[in-house]
Amino acid sequence: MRIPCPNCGTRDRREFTFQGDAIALDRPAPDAPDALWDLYVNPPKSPPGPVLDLWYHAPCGTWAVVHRDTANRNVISAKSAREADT
Amino acid sequence: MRLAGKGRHTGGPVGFWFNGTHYNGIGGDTLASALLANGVTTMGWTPTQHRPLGVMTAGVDEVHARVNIGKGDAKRLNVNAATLPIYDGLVAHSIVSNAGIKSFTSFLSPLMAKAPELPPENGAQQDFELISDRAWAFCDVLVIGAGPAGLMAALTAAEAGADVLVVDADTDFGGRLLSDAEHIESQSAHLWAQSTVERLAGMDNVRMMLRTSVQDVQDQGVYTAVERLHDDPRIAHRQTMWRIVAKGSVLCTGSYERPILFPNNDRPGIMLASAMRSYLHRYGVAPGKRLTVFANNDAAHQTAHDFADAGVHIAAIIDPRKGVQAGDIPVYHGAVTNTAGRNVLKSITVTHAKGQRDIVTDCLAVSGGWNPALSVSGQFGAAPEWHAETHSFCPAAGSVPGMVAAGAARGVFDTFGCLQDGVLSANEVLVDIGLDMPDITAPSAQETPYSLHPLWLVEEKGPKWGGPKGDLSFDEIEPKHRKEILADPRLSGVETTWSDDEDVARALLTAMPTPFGAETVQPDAVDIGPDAQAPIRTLPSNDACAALGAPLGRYGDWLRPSYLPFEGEDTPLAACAREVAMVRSAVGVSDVSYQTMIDVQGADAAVFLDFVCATTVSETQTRRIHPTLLLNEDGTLMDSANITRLDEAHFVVRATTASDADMMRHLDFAAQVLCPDLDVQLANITESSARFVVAGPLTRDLVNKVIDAPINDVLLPYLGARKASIGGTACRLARVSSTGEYACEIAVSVAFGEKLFVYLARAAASLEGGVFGADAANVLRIEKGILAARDMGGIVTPYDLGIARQMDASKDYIGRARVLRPDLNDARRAQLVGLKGVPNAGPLPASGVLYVRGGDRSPETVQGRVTSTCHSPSRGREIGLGFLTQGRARYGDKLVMVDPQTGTEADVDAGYHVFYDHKGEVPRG
Repeated sequence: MRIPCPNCGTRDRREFTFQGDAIALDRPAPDAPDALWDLYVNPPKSPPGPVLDLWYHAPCGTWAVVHRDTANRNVISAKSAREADT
Repeated sequence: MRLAGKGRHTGGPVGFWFNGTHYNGIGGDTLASALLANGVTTMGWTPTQHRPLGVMTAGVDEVHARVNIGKGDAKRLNVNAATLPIYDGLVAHSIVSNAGIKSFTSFLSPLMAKAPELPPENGAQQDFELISDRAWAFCDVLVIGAGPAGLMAALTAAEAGADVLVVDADTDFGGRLLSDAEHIESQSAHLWAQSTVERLAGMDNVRMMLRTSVQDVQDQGVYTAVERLHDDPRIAHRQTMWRIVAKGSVLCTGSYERPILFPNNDRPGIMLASAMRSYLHRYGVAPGKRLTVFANNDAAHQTAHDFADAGVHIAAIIDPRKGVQAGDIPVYHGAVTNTAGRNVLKSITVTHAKGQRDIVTDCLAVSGGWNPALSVSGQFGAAPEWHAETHSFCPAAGSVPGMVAAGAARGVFDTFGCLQDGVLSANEVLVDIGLDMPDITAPSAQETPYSLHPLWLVEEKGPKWGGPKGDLSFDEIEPKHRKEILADPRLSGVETTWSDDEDVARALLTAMPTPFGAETVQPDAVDIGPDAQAPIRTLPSNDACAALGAPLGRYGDWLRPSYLPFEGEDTPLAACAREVAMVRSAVGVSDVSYQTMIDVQGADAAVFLDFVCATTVSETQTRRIHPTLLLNEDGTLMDSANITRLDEAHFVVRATTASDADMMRHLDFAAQVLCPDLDVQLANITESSARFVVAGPLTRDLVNKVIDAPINDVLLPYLGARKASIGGTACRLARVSSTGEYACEIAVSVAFGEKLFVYLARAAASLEGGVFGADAANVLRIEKGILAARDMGGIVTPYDLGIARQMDASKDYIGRARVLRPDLNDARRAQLVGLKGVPNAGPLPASGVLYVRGGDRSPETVQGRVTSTCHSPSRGREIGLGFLTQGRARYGDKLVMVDPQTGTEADVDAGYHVFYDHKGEVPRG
């Protein structure tokens, strides 16, 4: 798989570490209900199809939000997590 | 035997050994062709019945002729003799084993995967060779395989100006053109291949690689290929693993000829017709003197004509198709129903319309038609398509995005068709990647219609051997597994013109290889093993330690000295015990440059660290060190760390166990994802300084011996940090301890690391101290009850360690929401305890589970786990750290520790986890 690092350009997936669903961007408030925190810490598995997930490009230290389609394995786009608004 | 004037290889004489006998071959021969040239027909034996086996193919699909090569330590196992080029000094032995069983099962998979296991015999090992090097290549068009289709595809793409990479698994480019006597544009086909290769090689935008086989394809056009550089096991660097990134590719991997199954079909001398022609044309070898051909298609008749031209007697052609004739050669319209001969074929029995007769022959060419090679196209899980006109499974278009199959790889079996298909497929790829199609047409060549009678199984009693290296015949396998095959979901998408399911099953059983992609064809798969170890990082003191005779071991990515041996010390344990005693009684020096150091700066650095850490970092004064905890968001302990505040807005995080890569990822996540608005910058400075810990009662004496201006406990208190200099070179001092001793860490620029290490080692020696290694460091930390990565394992909470009160719940931090959950603070959880072995009972296992001594032992009665053990020289007994249910309330409990892997057990007593200096006063001074 090739992933477009927002900082370096397209690189092989072996340079990246996968983190999971981009739900990690929406950290609940400290006093949010337990159910919300449970969902945040253990997000449900996404069905095949378009996903937003987080990948860390270790060589440049960039966390990227990658838009992929797990049904047809296409990598659609990526932007840095710092700038992502989801 | 070798035929004068035949053969297309031109090397000099090469001497080699096979099964203890010396033979000569010609450079360019494979082991199989050189043996056939020497009249050797038996190249292996089946495992249980020890029936002799000869070579059946001339390519990667060979499973009979497998050999071990080399001797002593320099050995390669289960090597394919039909593709192994001979070299001077080659030593090969046939294998009598089920080593080839993997290939065997893959041939008839999924059927054979479920067949009974054959008993392993001698040499039943796989050849796991190290990939000794890795490389990357990038191109516009990757051409996989350089036969007629591949060469034309390469030429087309090259003429279009694409950056072309051509890879071929063979030792020469040309594919089948090397092995047949056809013509392309009035030129002998192999000479056309040669001149085309020269033309391609002369183009700046074309790269060509031989002996490189594409193993797999991944998303976005990444191909893994293995290039074989050497065969001789005495040469260390034999393979390079390539990752090729291609915008598009043309798959020209050709096809495999299938045999026909008939009774006693695996005697030496029985060979695929295409292999027979390879040995004749390419290697100039005739496998026998009286040839017979058993084929269900026209193409195989060529074999008879070629051998007749070479002066070999053709005894008969057996063809099930009515009305087929072959000039002077007698043709029997029937089938081979039995064979005779042991070490070499003696005769065959033919049953035909007019009866049955025995024909004397010493080599039989068999052809059941062709199956496209599907190993690469099947990798994305696309089911192959059944092509009724060729009676074969072909890759479906679009099986792999960006890849187009061409030529025999997609069921085009005549030479002109392959040449033309190469052009068309390359054009398809060129359009796909946005290049213009060049004006190029295929040269004229043989156009043979492919006519085939679907016969793959001869209905006759007798063992029809289903595969090589197995003493399991088709009849023994088939009834048992037919149902399972038909139930295979992969078959559901396959449409056939066959009359019923049984016919489909039969076709699958007998049409080798089957249509199941990657399982089916494994080009030299057994020759490819695990990667060589990942790069290793070395300490600044690495060379100095090695010079002192220290054994260097791998700890994570780092190479560290295990201990520094003294003369007369006979065991590592003795060296370790001496080093521990030295630190406890005098002073020890150790290189801790492997410890993770992350620099944190910015106006919001303190706010950031308060969010990342469970404790309040922001209250730390400058030049003071703050011990802290980092949690994962789920409430488990990520790591502990010491944070030095250098300035208002400048901190250094020193992780206790986490690797620098993991810690950077964790902190970068917090900075970029969780607090993108904070002004904070992170840098991994682990490798920019050399750091040495000085530990022991004489630490102050040693430090003051080396630094320019002496220090004391007021200038540098416990958990203090300050700048200093050594001989005018700047250094930093930090009063941290991971040994339980009074300790001071000295950091200098990495450039001075080795020098300082030697200086410190000498100074320590003058104080009856010295250098200590990783073994002693491990014992020192266990004695002090300090956890290592293996003790934490991502499941331990601060509560389990009894340090929950260190957390500051008045602020938000990573993990806070979850760490406060009742179930992570339940007294019934496994809590950290120390474990003491019973005196004089021998060492504890390295790890294990705990039961009540004398109680029941079942999964339900497990009381906890032991994660670290060692012999404690300071306490004179075996100690360990572990996690015991309700552990803090159970000090003094009598338990037994069992290593579930080995069954070893040892009696232990639970207690406080700190074995040395309970009150923690020693490091304070």
